[in-house]
Amino acid sequence: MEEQQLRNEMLFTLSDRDTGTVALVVTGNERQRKELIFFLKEHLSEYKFFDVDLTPHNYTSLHRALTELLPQEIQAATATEWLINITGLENALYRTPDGNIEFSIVDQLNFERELLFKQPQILMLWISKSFYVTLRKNAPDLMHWLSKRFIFNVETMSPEIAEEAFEKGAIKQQGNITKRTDRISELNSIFERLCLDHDDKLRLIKDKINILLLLGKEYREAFDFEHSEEALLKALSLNNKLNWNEKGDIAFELGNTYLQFNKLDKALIFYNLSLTENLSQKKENNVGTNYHKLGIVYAEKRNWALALENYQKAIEWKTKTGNDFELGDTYHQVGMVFEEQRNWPLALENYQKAIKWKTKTGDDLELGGTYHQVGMVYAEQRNWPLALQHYQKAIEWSTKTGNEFELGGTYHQVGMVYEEQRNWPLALQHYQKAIDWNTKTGNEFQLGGTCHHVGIVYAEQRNWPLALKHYQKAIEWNTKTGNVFQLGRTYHQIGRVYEEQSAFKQAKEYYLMSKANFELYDTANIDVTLRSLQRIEEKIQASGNT
Amino acid sequence: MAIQKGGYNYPVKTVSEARTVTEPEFQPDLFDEQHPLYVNLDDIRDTSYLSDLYFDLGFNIRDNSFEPSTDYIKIIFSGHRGCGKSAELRRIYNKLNNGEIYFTVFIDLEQEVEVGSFQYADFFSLLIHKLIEQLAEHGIESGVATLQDLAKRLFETETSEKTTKGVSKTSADLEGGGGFSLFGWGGKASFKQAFSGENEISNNVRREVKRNTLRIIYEFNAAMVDVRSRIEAQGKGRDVLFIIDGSEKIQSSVYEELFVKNGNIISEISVNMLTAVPITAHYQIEKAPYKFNNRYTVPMIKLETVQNSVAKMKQIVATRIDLETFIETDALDKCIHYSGGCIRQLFQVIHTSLKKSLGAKIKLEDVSRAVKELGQDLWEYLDSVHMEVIKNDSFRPADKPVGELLYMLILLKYNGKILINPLLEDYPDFVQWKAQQP
Repeated sequence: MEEQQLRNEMLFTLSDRDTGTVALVVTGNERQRKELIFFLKEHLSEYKFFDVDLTPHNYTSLHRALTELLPQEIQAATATEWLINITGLENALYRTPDGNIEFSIVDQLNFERELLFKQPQILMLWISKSFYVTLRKNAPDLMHWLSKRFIFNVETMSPEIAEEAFEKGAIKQQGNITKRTDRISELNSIFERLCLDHDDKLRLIKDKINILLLLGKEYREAFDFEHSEEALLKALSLNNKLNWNEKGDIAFELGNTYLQFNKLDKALIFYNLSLTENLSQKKENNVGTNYHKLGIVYAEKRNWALALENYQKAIEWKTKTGNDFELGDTYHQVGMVFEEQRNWPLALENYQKAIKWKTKTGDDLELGGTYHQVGMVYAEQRNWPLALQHYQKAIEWSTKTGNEFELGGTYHQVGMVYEEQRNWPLALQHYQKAIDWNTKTGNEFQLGGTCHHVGIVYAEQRNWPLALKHYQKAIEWNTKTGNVFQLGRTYHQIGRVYEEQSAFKQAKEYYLMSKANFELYDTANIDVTLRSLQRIEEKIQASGNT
Repeated sequence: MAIQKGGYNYPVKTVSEARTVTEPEFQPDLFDEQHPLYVNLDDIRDTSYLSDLYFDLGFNIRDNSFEPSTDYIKIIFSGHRGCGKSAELRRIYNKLNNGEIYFTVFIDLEQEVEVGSFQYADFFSLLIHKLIEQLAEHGIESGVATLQDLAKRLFETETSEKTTKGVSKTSADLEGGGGFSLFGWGGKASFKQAFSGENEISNNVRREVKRNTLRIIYEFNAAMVDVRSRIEAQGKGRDVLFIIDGSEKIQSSVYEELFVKNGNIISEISVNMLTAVPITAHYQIEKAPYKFNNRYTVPMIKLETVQNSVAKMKQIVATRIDLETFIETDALDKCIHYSGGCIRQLFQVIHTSLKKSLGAKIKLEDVSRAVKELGQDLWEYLDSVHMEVIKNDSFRPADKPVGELLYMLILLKYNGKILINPLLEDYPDFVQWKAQQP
């Protein structure tokens, strides 16, 4: 049947209903499904829409899933005003003891027919052809009543295309670059075109998991936390349903995503899950990396003891499993802990170990990063010449190894050195380089921080309009990249600009925003803001301007 | 079934109403006083089964006389989905539910229980519950008290008090059913809530039923002696009859347990019982160790050979939708032909044709496209075993594949013969396949 006719029939059947109903739409892939859902949303304006994807869940009853996943507003509705798109039914799977993969939601569906049809809403079940065939076989009573069936045919993608997607591997360069955006589109396109009715269900699910895993990583690199988390949780859920041994890898990637977006408790949960899985699966090669990541999380939580303990375990495991080439990274992290503790000798000692191991094992890609940190240690000690010298080495190595992604960060630090020296032109010049490199390499995560410092430089020069302009840019970038835990500092700086201009009301407003942000993310810095608030209150009272 | 905002003025004249009232899931009250949609098919359907059934129940259809039978009758009532079983059961209820005849308890399982979680053991408690409810409705309070005492005695255990409180907290309905013991035997809506899954009440009652099925039946039978006499004394009926509809919607394991494995236990219950079962179960029951002697099947209407049958089918459609507005005469004839004598299939063909015409007046070509789509669906269901059965043209209803084909309406059972559904019979791929068979 012509697709247009089928679409028209679908609209005819669903439009302006005064009774709820259940309809089936069979599609060949996710893309077609998305297009058709969009088509319905465009043409059936009389309804409100709600989409439910069952992929991340583990239900054996659709009725129960709807009871738990639909908002109260929909469940309480008595008129036919909602159209619910239910997808992911074919992903409700389980593995039988003899290794077969079965749909877990089909059997119960047969007995839920009455419950489903009783809903005042329109329930659209978006399913694959194989799910449809199974439904007909195992849920005859439901199917007898389910007369609204729309079966779309599609050209499906050959398995080789999916194969190519995996072969390409990850993009070396970090950041939200065009190449990455294209890669995400490509992966999404492949995922959407994956034939939902692959003869080999195992293969299909495995492809799905792999693509979701790749997508999770790429979204993370592009600073898209929600999509990264969503893709990885779906991958984990699919994996769990089939009890595959990919759990450790997926959990590790989830840990990475949560860590990058500063969701440290969740990062801990998933790194620990990954560690447990790797230990139980005897994937000992990964154990050192697990401890390394746990160390990073504890360091972010400023729990230095646990950070060092985990780094130590990482070093032991990496040594034990012959993963020497990863030792440099861990020593680098240990250096950072001591740097944070302002223990400069131990920090430098470990950075030197990191440089030694990285040089020895040829892991020079990150050498620039370590020189960068050494520069920071000297900067902390206000030893500007040595700081600048090491930043210069960092720039050289990052350029030499093609690790341009790091350059923006180092130029930023050089800018900070000049800022400290109140050399505003050189500070601005290097901050601008940092912005240029971070923009070029898609390192949007750091742009907010640099803009913040440019704001400070202009503020120091009492150039309030330019200061405010760059603080606003900082807010925009940090919001966009999910770096919201940095916002408190910028709000505070904006407060100061207004305070300097005696605009106390606006100043107070920003101090309050700063306080709220610090309360959420950075209580260590809240005292500064509290003092500013107290001061501004006094100024407001003194000026009689409430 | 479908939630209706309000009644319709039949025959309906708007497209959206026509679309709704022809949907297979649309289940109006055929006997509604304001808008009766029921069309009597007695003169086109072989109704000899019905007079036999009435006779079994002691009711003589010729002179409307009634003499309770000497034994308690258990009747198995089957038929294809959509052949009109429920309508026939309602008709039987309307005829026999009379103070001079039966005190009749009609149980629509779909209404009363959550079919997905309904268990074998729930059947017995449902009988008690519904009987109490019905007695209360008729003001036979002494009967209510007798059965409630029985329920208390049979099912109340140490955990019941705790359970009752637990359920009452979350269910206003259950509290509303107060005055009754336990979870509210006989209370409105309480059965569905209490037995819709695993909880202390349902587990407790189910455990008791499984553990002491026969004792419970004997106690129930003893109580029924009293209940029956009170019903008769109040002029509400000379015997008790349960009519149970909707068992085809419950899990096959449940009715197998009831009527195939434990038919002898059912036979021990001292009430008359008319139970609808899926057409496949009919043949399973036939092979079961315990023989239900009274088994009837609602036959499909023979369109080609029975005079007036097409006119009656047209009348059924005309009571729902305005023919002039929605369907050409020749198109309607074609729909009726492809109904195979099954009323629900008739509406399915009409509904699908209306979908093909996108709401315009249905023409022959719309019906052709609808028939092809529906035929394709049946064709795609067939597996190699089914194909072999069809190829051999020997349909033994007790054979499992034949049972499946009957259940899926691929085979239709008429009085005396089984035929292939016309939707499949004329589907091009099927025609081609059949032509290739030796």
